[in-house]
Amino acid sequence: MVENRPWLTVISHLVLIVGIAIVVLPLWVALVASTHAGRDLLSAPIPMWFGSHGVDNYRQMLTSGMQHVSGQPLTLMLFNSLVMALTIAIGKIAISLTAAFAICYFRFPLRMTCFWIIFITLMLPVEVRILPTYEVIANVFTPLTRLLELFGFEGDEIVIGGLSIRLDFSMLDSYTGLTLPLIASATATFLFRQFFLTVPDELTEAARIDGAGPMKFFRDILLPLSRTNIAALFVILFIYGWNQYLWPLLITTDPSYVTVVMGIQRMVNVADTEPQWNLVMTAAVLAMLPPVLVVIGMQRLFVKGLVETEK
Amino acid sequence: MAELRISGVEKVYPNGFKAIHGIDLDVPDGEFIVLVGPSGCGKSTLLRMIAGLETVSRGTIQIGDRVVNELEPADRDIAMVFQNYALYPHMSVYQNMSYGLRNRGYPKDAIEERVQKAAGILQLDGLLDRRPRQLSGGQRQRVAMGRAIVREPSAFLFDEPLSNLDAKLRVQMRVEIKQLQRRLGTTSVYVTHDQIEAMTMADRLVVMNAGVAEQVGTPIELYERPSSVFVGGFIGSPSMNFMPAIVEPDGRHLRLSDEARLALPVEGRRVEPGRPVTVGVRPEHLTLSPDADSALAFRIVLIEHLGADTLLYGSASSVEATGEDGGLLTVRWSGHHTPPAGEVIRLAADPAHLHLFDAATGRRI
Repeated sequence: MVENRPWLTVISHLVLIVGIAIVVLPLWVALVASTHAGRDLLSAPIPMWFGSHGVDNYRQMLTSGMQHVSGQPLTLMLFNSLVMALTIAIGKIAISLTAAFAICYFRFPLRMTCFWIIFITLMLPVEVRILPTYEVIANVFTPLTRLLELFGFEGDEIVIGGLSIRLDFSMLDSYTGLTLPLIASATATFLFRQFFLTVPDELTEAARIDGAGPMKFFRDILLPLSRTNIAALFVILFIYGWNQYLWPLLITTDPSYVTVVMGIQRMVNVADTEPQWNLVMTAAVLAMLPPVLVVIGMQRLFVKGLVETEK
Repeated sequence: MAELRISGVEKVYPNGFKAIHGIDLDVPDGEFIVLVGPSGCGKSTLLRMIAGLETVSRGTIQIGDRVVNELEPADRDIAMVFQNYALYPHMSVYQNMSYGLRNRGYPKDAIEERVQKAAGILQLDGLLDRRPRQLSGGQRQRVAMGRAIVREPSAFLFDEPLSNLDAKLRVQMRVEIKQLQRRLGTTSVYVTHDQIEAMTMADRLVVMNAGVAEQVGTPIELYERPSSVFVGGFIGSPSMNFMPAIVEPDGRHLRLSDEARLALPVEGRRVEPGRPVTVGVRPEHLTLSPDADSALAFRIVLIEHLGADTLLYGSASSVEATGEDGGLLTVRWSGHHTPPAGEVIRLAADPAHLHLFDAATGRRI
């Protein structure tokens, strides 16, 4: 549509500028605040231009952290977040790819039932099933002991020939506990399934005639073809994992497993004193960096994966 | 190099639909056999059963001296060319062609040699590093052929390989495929719905209809002695004209419904008088009749000039022509003719080229 109405141009630009201001202003304030000393931010006009304490703030946060709250340097939190985000992203992609492969390319009993069960879990994100999930992570054997209770066995010990097994295995305060419950993903499984359905049958048949078994077909043909989809999902899932807040807050008490998103929350919730906003903003800016880098680094593949139709 | 033997093959789908009703076919070593028929006749199913992509419900398929019913496609020593080429989009031409050999564990230099040789035959030399999407339709087709010939299989299977190409390229690739097959001498099974492709390429043709092989023979056999109304109508373009008729009491003439009499061909003299038949006559065998009594009154509706030939479409007064051409008869004269549309001319058919079919079963009498 080509139109030439000057006032329309003015209005549309105005709307765009206001929109950008709404999005960018908080970021700008955070960035500026992270370069000031703490007291500069407590008096009335909030500075809108960079101050001189930037280097000090960043050095302090990266090396020692805030002493009166847990005292963990931000590097550790960033590392924890990175482990969590990467494990979730890679784990989700790996599981979804194989699940979608099984559902699309193999005929086994209850195939569609499996698919629909996976699909239904879309309606059950962690926030909904948080209590039962917590219980399972707190003790992996909970489902088993509950089942045994149903049949009249009490207690958490099984004795098999002189060997006593205590049914108690907790994943609280561990990377496994942080990531495992978030790894199963119906969304990604569904996306890969939809993609696999668009791969022409002839390609599968040609590979069969060329002597490629199922796993070889998966590795040599499907995986390279899904490359852009994998990249797009990786970006989305990495950010999903990085931004996890509620779950890590619930299951970690050990300060060495603090992730950066919940770390920031702890920095703000201080007793008896004003939060040190300059340092909080420094942490926020640092916490923003990895997802931004991932998006920028994978932008080209990401867009390709979302729009590409060529097979 | 091997012969292909298909005996009593049937295909029944799990939902009970019977796609193939028992087909027997022997393809001698090096023959180019074409399966032709309208869509849904089971020709692709039969090909896919030979390839091993569909299971065989009954009967056996033998390639060389092995019964291959239970073998995986990769173990059947066949290569297949698909309609949409099915090239691996993320691999180069070289990788596409060598993939099957690599999976079979051929040494690198043997693969290199075979691919280079095939590329030479198919004029793909400069394109080996390209991706399929950087190739034209004809080049992709050649790569698909290349992928088949590097394997040096016992048999080639072609599943409508030319239907994605434009008309001109199709004629060119038709010639190329045929030449290549002659040169390699590999037994080939080729599926198409295009009867011109079938006629021009085949050593022998199998005309299929509703899961049954209606007739097997050389293109000329099928053209000159179609075994049924279906084959007569399917082979040849424009297709054969069919008219209902009744054998006269003398057993030597046919009476069409408008009382036009046609001389009965010699071979038909066994037909008992009074029997209803369908008479088939090809467009090129209808000529202007010198004798007004025993001729067909033909009202010209439309004239098509093909240059070398002229096609006349028209209705034969009260003759109710059957077939999918909307009741019109077709006449083909060589050369250039310009009779005015609307004119009624009298046509006679060459008795030697009349085909008689049973009116009820459609089989040749």
